[in-house]
Amino acid sequence: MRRPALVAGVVTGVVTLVLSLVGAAWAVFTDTASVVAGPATGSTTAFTSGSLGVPGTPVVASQPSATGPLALSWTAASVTGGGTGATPSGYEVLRWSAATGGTSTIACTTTTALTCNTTAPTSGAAWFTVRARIGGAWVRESGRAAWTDTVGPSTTFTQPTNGLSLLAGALAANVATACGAGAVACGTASDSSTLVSAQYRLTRTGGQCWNGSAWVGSGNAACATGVYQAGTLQTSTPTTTSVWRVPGTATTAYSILASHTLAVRLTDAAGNRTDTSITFSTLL
Amino acid sequence: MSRGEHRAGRSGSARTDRLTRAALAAVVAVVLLLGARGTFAFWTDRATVTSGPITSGSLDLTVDGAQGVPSYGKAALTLSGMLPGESVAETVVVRNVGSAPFRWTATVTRGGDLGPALDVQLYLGSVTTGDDTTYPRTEGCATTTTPVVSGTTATRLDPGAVGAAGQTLCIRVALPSAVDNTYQSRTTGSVTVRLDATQALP
Repeated sequence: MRRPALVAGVVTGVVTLVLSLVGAAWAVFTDTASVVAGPATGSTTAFTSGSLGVPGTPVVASQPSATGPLALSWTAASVTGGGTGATPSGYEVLRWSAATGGTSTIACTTTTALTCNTTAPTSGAAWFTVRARIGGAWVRESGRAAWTDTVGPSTTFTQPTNGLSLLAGALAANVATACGAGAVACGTASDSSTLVSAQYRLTRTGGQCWNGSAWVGSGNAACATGVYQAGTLQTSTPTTTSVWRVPGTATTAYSILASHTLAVRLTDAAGNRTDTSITFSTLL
Repeated sequence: MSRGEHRAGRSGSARTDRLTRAALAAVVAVVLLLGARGTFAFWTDRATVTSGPITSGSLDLTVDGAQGVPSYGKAALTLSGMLPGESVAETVVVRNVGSAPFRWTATVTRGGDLGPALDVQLYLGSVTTGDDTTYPRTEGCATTTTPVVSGTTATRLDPGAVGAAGQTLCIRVALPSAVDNTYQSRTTGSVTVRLDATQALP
């Protein structure tokens, strides 16, 4: 009696196991429902996307000074769609290396403001665009606006200074201290663009002019009107600030009672030129 | 013929005779047994068992009370002029109004020129947050602890009171913030959530 019962139990178990493993052995009911987004069945316009308009081409305001920033302004980009009050999430001003094509870098960024300042490029020329942004990747970019540096370099006179009146020996000593050996005058120059040259015209009483090593007479070509001699520019980093020097020996240059006029001409990479002059005198 | 041959011939003939007689006897016995069957009488009886009424059960899934065949339009689940980062969310109630327990899965399909960019998320047991009209419109699902993965997550729903109460499914459709620039000004976009219910086996 026990053995048949055992066999029956095993068979039942095996059958149950097989049926459970083989799903196809069961027939099941199914049902399907579909939810379509939108007002009606088959709606294909439940979701549409808005768009971002093109911002205005930037306007570059005149550079306020030789080293002043560039102020750019533009008109806002429009936004179509979105919730109430949708506006661009920000703007980027791009500085391009060429009128077309070229490479760009971000000059400045804003969130809602339609102006921003950036440093002028040392090349003396650049092209700017404004790129409006909304979200992480939606952008629209304006046309390019050209800019060129029109402001000449600025300068300061380290020694001698304007209006100075000193004993010749004292002046020579001051110059040697401030400008180092080998210079009769020095100063600094700065510009938004790279400085490319420094020239000088140093004259004194009697129409003599300094040629870099000695005073020469008024009949010398170096003393002709408007002639400048080559000075030196000590390059530095950034290249937009430099030290200019008038070559020569200070004790040679300043040895007599005289009035002097020193004119310095600086030129930047954009070709802008600035002439600045001072007067000073030596006493005995 | 020799004497020995004669003895052998007699012996074979006798054996054949005995076999023949036995075969005949067997045939006669069979014929007699078959032929005499009708002479037996049997008592018989019959009983019929009639069942009670037998009906089949049903498996019936509804969405917001609708059969959803071929589809049910969720009117509020729409958003025009979507900008990156904006989203809309709505809930539907999945019910089991049949008599069989089932497991349901949800499969999302997106269509139209904006469809590929849409991000559709499903959450069980959640309600929507807000009805946003101010940029950025960012409606969402209140709780996101029970996501329903398209085509994967199977959720059981029994009939009876539980099935009648149903399960709330929150559907969130978003245009991701990082959506590609090319998806501006798209004019068609659709989302369909198909719910497939399969009878839950014991």
